[in-house]
Amino acid sequence: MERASILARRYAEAYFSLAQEAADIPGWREQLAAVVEVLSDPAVSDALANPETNLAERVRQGLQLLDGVSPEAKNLARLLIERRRVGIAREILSHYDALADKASGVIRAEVITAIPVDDALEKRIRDSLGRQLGSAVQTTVRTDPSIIGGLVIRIGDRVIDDSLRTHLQQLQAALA
Amino acid sequence: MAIRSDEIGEILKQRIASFEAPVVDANEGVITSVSDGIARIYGLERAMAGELLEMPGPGGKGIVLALALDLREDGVGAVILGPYEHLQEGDKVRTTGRIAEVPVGDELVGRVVNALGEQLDDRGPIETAQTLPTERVAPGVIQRENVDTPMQTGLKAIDSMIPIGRGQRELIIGDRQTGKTAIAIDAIINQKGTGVICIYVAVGQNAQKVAQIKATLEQHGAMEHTIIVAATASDPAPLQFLAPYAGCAMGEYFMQKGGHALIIYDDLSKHADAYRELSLLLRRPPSREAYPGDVFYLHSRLLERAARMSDAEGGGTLTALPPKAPLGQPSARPRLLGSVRSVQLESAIRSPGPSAIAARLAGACAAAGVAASATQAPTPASAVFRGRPNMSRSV
Repeated sequence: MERASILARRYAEAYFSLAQEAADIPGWREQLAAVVEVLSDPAVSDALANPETNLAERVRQGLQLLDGVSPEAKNLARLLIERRRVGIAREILSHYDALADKASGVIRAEVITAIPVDDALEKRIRDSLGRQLGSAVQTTVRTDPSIIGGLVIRIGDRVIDDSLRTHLQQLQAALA
Repeated sequence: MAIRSDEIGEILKQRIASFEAPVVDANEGVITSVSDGIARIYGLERAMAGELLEMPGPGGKGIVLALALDLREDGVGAVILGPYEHLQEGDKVRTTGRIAEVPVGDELVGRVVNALGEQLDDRGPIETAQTLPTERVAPGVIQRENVDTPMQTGLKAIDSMIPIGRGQRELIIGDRQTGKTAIAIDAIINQKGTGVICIYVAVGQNAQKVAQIKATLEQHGAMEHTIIVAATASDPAPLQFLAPYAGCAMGEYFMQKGGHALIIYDDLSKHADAYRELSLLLRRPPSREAYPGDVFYLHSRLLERAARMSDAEGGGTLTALPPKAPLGQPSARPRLLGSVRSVQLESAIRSPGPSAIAARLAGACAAAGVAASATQAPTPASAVFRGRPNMSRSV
C-alpha cells in the first residue's frame, strides 16, 4: 500500500512540474481531474485492465473516452493504461493538490470541535493558526462529540490535540 | 504510615487542581498492517529513528508503545513493545518526541523490571526523576583511562590468574551447562559492600531461571545492590532486543555519577536471535545463518559502552560480563566477539561418573576457597532430575 502512494507521488510530481512550467497549475488540475473521473469509474478501469483486449486497442478505447482533454493529460492517461497503474489515478490527483498547496503556500487545516462553532470563532482560529504558522490557512471545521471538549487541529501529518478527552486520559495516567 | 481515607481524597483533589495538561503537538499516522509484533504505519513523516510511538492500548484503554525502526519513503516500520493482537488497520499512531529511553536512578536498585523499566515485582511503582536514552554513543578515547582497579569475582582461580578490572569487558564463553551464569552470579554476590551496583539482564531466559537467580541473590543479601532487568523467553522479541540496552543505560547512570556498576548480559546469543527475528520480520536482507548484516554492530556498540571513565569525567566505571554460548559444533566455531577478552569454560573430561563429578566439584571449590553452595553448578542429583544423563560436565 505504501508502494501505490510512492508511485502516485512520482506521477503527480512529474505532471505538476510540467504544469508549473506552463504556469497554469489550476488549469492543468482541471484536466487531471477530468482524466481521474473517467479512469476511476469501475467499469472503465475494469475494461482497461482486461487482458483479453490487446494493449493498443485498450489505449485507443481509453483515449476515446478522454476526447477534449489536454494532450498532456491524455499522455498521462496513456502512460497509466500502458503500465497498468490506472488504480492510482485518484491518488495522483490528491498528491497534485498537495503539491499545489505547497507551491502556493496555502496550508489546509482540519479543525475538530465537540460542538458546532460559529463563523466568528472559526475566523479567530484561522487567524491564530495563520499567525503561528506564518502563512495563509484554510480551515475545514468538523464536529465530533467524542472529543468531549476543546479542539483538535490536523495539518497534514501533524496533530495539535487540546481536547478534553486527551486531557482526561493524561490525568488518568498521571494519577495511576 | 497509615493514610486516612479522606487524606487520599484530599491528595487527589490537590493533584487534580494542580494538574497541568500539556497540549499535545505530535505527528499522527495510520496503521496499514500489523503482524508478528511489527506494525507498518503510513504517514509519520517527522518520525525519528528509534523514536517511541504511541498506539492505542488493548480494549481502547491506555497506550502501547512502539519503536520506529524502519523509516521509509512513505511510512514507518515499527516494532511493538507490548501486546499487539488488538491493533487494527486504521488505528492512529502518534509520535512522542522521545527517542527510546528508560527510567534510571537509585530507585531501581533492588527491583526487578522489564526492558522498559516497568516494575515486575510487587513492591510498588517505581518513580525515577531521570531517564536516559537506551542508544548512546560510547565514551571516546580521550574520555577514558586505563583500567586500574580490580573487579573481584570472588573466584580465586579468576581473580588471581586472569583478573578482571573495573571498566573492562570480559566474555564468559562456554557450552551450555558449563557454569557461565554461576560465575556471573558469584561476581554479583561478591560485590556486596564494595559500593558496586550490579545489573543482571536476563534475555530470553526462562522466567523460572530468573526467579531462581533472584532467590539466590536474596539469600546472600545481594539483591540490595542489584537490579534485575528481565526480558524472558515469552516476552516479545522487541523487548528482548531492548533489554541489554536498557540495562546498559541504567548502568551508565551510575557510571556518569562517578560510581561503579557491573552489568551481566545473560545471554547475548538469545539477544542476537531476537534481533534476527526482528530484522527478518522487517524484511531486512538476511546474511549468514539468517542473521542480519549488522548483528556484530548490535553487540559491539553495546559492549563499547562499558568503560573506565577518566578522573576528569568522574572516574566512574561500567564493567560488562556477558556469558555467551558459542554457536555450532566445537570444531566449526567462528570467533565471534574476537576483540573481547574471555574466560572459557570447557568440559574437562568426557564421561566421568556422577560421583567423580561431585568429588571434582568439591575439590575445585575447596581449592578456590569458595563454598560449594554459593555456586550454581548443579549437583549430580539435579543433573539426573533434569532428565539428561549429562555425562560430560565441567568444573
